[in-house]
Amino acid sequence: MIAAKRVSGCVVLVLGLAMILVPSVAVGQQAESDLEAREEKAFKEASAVVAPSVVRIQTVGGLDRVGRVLTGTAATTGVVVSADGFVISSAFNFVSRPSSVLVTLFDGRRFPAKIVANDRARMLTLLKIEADGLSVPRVAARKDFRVGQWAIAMGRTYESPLPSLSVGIISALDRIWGRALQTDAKISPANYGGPLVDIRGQVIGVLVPLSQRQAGRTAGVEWYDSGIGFAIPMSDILGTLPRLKTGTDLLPGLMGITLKAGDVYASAAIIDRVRFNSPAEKSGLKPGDIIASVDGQPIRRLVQVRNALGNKYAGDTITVVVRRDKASVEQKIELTGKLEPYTPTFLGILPTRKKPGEMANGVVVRGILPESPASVAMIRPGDRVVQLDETPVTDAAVLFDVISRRRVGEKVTVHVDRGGARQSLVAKLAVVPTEVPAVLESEFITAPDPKPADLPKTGRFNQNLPGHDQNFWAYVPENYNPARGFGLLVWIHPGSDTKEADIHDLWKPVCDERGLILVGPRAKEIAGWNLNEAGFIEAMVKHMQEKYNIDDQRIVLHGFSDGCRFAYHLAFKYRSLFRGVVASSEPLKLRPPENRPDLRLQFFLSCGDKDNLYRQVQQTRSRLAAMKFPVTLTSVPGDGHDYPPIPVLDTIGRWIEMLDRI
Amino acid sequence: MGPLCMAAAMLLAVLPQTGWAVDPAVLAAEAKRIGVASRLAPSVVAIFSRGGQGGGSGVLISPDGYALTNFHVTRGAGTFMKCGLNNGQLYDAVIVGIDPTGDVALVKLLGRDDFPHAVLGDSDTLQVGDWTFAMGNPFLLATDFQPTVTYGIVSGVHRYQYPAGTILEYTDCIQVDTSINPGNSGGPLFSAAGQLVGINGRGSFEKRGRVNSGAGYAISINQIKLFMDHLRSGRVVDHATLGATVTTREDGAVVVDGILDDSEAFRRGLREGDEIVSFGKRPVRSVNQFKNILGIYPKGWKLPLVFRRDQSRTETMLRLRGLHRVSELTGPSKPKPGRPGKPGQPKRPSRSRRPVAKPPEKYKHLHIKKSGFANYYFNQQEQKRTLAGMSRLGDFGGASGAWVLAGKTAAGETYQLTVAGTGVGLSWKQKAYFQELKSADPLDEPKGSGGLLYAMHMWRTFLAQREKGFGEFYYLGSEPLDGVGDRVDVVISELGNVRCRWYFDRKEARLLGFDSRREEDADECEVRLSGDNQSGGRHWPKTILVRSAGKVLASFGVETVTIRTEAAK
Amino acid sequence: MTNRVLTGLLGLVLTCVSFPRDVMGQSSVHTTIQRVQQRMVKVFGAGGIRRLHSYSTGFVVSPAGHVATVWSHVLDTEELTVVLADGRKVRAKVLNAEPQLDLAVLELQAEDLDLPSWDLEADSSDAGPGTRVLGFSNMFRVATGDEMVSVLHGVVAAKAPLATRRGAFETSYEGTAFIVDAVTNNPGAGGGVLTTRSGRLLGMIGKELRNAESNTWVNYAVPIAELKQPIQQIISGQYKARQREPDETEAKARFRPLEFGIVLVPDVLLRTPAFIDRVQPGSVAAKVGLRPDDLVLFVNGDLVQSCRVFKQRLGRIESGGVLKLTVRRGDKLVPVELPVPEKSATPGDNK
Repeated sequence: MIAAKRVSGCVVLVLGLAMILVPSVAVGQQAESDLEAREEKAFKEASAVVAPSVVRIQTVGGLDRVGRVLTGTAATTGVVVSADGFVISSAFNFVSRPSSVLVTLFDGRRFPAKIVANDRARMLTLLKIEADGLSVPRVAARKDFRVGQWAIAMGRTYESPLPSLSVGIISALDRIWGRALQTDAKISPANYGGPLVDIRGQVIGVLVPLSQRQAGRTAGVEWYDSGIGFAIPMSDILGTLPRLKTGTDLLPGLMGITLKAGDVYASAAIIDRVRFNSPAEKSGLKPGDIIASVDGQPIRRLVQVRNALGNKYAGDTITVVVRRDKASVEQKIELTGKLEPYTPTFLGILPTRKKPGEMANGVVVRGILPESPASVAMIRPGDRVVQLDETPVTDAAVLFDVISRRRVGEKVTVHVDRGGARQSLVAKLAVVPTEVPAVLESEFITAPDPKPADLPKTGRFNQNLPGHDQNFWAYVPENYNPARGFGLLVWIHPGSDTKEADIHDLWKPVCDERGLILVGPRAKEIAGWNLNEAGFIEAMVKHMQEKYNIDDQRIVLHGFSDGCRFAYHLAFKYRSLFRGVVASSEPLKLRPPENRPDLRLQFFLSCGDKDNLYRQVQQTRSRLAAMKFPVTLTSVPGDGHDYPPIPVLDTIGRWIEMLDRI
Repeated sequence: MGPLCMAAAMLLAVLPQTGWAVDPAVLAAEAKRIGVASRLAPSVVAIFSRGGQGGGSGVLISPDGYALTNFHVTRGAGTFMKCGLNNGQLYDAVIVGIDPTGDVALVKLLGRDDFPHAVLGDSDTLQVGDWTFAMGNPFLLATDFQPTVTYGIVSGVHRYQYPAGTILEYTDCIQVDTSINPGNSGGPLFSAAGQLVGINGRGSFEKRGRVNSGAGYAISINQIKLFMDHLRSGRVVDHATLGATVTTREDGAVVVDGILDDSEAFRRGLREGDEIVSFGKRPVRSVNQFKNILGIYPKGWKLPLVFRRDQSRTETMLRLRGLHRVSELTGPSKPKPGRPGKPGQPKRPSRSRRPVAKPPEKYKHLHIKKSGFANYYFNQQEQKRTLAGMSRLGDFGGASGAWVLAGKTAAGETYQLTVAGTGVGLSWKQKAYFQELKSADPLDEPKGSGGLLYAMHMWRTFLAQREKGFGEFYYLGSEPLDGVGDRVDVVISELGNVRCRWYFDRKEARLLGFDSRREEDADECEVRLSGDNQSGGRHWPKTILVRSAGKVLASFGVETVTIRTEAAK
Repeated sequence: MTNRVLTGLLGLVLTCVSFPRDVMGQSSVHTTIQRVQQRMVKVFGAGGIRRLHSYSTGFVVSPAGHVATVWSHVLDTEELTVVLADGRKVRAKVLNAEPQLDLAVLELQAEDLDLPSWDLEADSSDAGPGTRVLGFSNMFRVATGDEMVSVLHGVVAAKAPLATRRGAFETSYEGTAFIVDAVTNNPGAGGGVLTTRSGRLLGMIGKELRNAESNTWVNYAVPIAELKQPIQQIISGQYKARQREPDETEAKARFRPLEFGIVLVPDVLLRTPAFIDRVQPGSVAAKVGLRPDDLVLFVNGDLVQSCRVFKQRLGRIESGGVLKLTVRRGDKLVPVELPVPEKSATPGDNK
């Protein structure tokens, strides 16, 4: 009450001060600095107006590291969105999945908070505290946003009674597929979750890290304080608030199509694949359809499809118009949040490996895998597959592509040329088997005779990589022959022990038999791998591809113990490079990626059944299997946390041998 | 008491129903800035390469589609590229000219003659503390082609930034705290008033990898203005050197510590140990300043140099020599890994190995390959424009005989100059000079003239045969005549070792004169033509002024011109 | 009103008091910048190897040629050179330093310089969030010779302790700092100054620091109010380096949860929350009504984010005092107070 009196008494005083500020000073520089003083006053007032709605968030428990990002333990920020205790914040602030969340109001009152729901498209999290009469900020209307207007970012990280400020302008509207506006105010963990405020003291939006190239809560953090910051318009948030309050997460809406690769800004949006059981398929979209418009927005280039879908959630219904052989077809599609993972299909043949410069006309069968659809259909080694259903087959890549577009259980007619005679055999496609055959012939390779002068190094040697301050060791079989494609096995050593001698001795026979080249990159610090060394590994593989004839279907990462973490990271980062992962005695900590038909990835896990990690490795198998990746697990009876024994290595050799199976 | 109340009052302001309102002056200034930003945005170009996987920014500077960007942006993009404007339209663009040293490229957007474009300002009026806008496509965020607008101040002017691994060198550039990030490359830096003052190209990124850390650098628009016509020539443009290197003496003076003895500077008397007083009319107080001055001029320009030895002060006019060999400029310009601590170019690194797209059918005639040129097509266009006035002089091709020019010099001596296909002769001051053409090399006749007689042969060849008379023949760009006069168009001709620079008035495309150089590193014979002297349906000059090495040989007044057939000679 | 609001008000006071001053200083930003730049110097010293920069910034604090700068490896040499605003190169030596403030004062080795210099009394000011500021430094060594140091613009983001946890930063400075929204703390920027737009001195730009709590680089300046006295004392030769107070954990008794009858859940993760597993019957914990599954959130007002931190905090409490705990029970926050038994200090007791 007394306070109130004092307050009312002061208004006059404030006005008085305002007077001091207003007197019009001489034009030019004086006026300029006067304006800057007035603007400074306006910043402070606008932020003071919103301050009571900006809360401090502290978390307890949770992970200390999520992927590459070390999650901070500092206090973060949120904005009150309803008087009865709902607070919106950035999902980044809860990336560590804390066990307890605390909210401190402007006046210092502290409340435990519940995480109500997340918006996985706009990367927001809604909290609820048991409080009432909270101060809800005024909200700026989206239609009033202007590039160039003042934008004041507010945060609550610091141990200060006042929110922190950063002042910039609105840099752009409709960024990140239309989800956010962009500001050059300094945005960082110090104000993620806080409000972006206009000069009138209205909330423009809520600050979040975002990236248009990656998804996830930590995407875009690398741009903190760079003058590239994002805010989700508060008016949009209020629109989705009712759905969030019900406690259900909002997911980005998916159609279930992939588009033909091309110039994202110039090429038309042509559907390449339609995911099985996806909304797109149910609504009858077909490969080859050209997307003409989404919800009335005309689509002229690839990138516009994402721009049109960026703001759609699972459950939203969109109207898509496609052009199909000159006719224009309109479809209503209800988007989903989760797509059924793609299941790779399997015919069961091993294609003969093409020699460099060899003209391929069809695929000569190198071998048939036992009990496979191919063997049931009586396809034989030596047969030349020339056509599959209506599609002429020129080489293995084409055959794989056609098969990958069909579904498990479907019948396909395989047209083969057998000794000049054409035969048509019907096979029923199956899932890729997980067991490795006990016997599997490898192609017999002899060194070129005489050895050409320019034959690259063979045997065991160390190699530096130009432009990198890191090196690697390699073993190239003496029978290396540039006329044959060799597999590449990339050994990712565990922390504090490169195991070079052992690995070389154990793998040499397998490499010699199976035509594999073994490379062992060395971590900068012996203690273990740092994620930013990934570029070096990629460069090393590319270097080997230039020097040697490497069969790109058999480039495999192999890790043991904690080395596997980096191996997994590499496999998921460079999908187009690696075809297989051999992970021994280490579970998968990362979230497995989507299984892609065009970039296949297969896994071989091994673990001693006495290893403490054995159960987790088994869980890894089921996690990968759930994503429909072909995954094989070999357990070693009696072994603890040990490197796999020779028989297992032989199995791995056979597994790599059949990586190019179709 | 006062402060406390004030504080409480600010709390009060929190309540929605206070009469608190924003200072109208603040709102007015904000509205003004919003207006400027929206006025400028249409001229900002999003340049894409590798199927949209890479790219940078640019800015339109003319309604017919000429746009500026960084060389390091176009390098990855090839000769044709796709450009997005904030109207949502995608345009084809073709490379015009490149300046690999200055990291500038000129491209031309195609398909319109009414492009929105920026107005060029005067970057030398920028002061530290001035507000600026940077616009462009950092991190390729502009999927809808709407540029990113950032706002900050000038942190430093006349900055020098060492080459970062490549030959790229930022001289006399503008430093801003306006956020510049990878992808901003090639985009405009605007003054608060909305004039184009620079091209953003670089940042000090060493601290955080490829993310802004408070220091961005823009190539000053005033430097680019000096190169503009060179860039329009479709050539690979080179920067200049003096042929001398400098260092700072203990007392802060900048002195020559090395000089090539075949350089013009050496011939004009510059020696090791001499103190550089001023260069290009700007005082020199640090090595960076010297590099800054040198760095903004194209190869071949003439600049005044003032140097001091003991008490003697020398003022001279020097033609700047090239900084690189053509191979260095056009060769594989893969950046070497930048030395740590050196700034890098904020170009979006591209992951995709996608090959450069092939030219669009309807435009592929707009690109002509020629060694030493980014796009020879545009040089042809500039040649046409510059030589347009030549036909007005009459048909010299028909004048197959010997040309005999006679009259008095300004000094009153009589002379007769005979320019024939077989040789050139001059009788003057009771002496006869002769230049045999069939076998003999170009001579310095009369001595110290820089080879007047051969220069007359070049003149005849040019008038009678134009480009057909020479080995190499191309449009160079523009420069101030003799380093001081108005800007003139320059055409280069080469025949054997003899190189001529032909100067044309930019309004009427009138031939003003030429400099003829007998051989590499020889002083030129400078010929200036003036007046109009009609004879036999042809326009001859009234006076021919001849200079060399800064000294005037004579000014020949042309009174009679007769064409004698060779036979009669 | 809670204390917090009062402090809140005081915070606001700061915001305001600095404000009218700046208005009265009606000078244009350009004159401000020129004036300040005349008082800045470039410092060149040790470093250069392994990305360690060998340069930093300083500001002139006496016409006779005293320069205040940041205490860093750059000063660790006999060959210390200072380049004045007008381009003159002058030898310098470290007069004295205060490592706890990251402060060093240099003495220029030159006679009758009579340099333009800062008047630490008259030219200084204070500021709060939103106050417009300029940062001056030779970051990235952009300027050489008589070229002027770089200028950045921004506002004071906050005036606060750099971090709430010990060891959040590798700096000995633990006081409050001006945290700014401009990227001021870059290589070589240390020793630069932060001023208001009318050119009043606010603070000295500090080293490059990464905030261990949010894993981001922070941009900050040490308030001139903290530095004024030491600088003046160093110049007048009366300065005595501060005594670093001994690590309090040594001096104090070490308590463990069990001594209060609290048994925590097994500490398995790095951040296992401090959940109470069991409460020993008859213990003080039982008396004040603590229960299993209570989550300990605050110890004497400080947030404890894990069992580990909880144990550390107990290790630091005074014996014989009162232990204030706030636990989360369901959706409620429950404060309790436990008497702390008398106990003699036993340094290094790890039982």
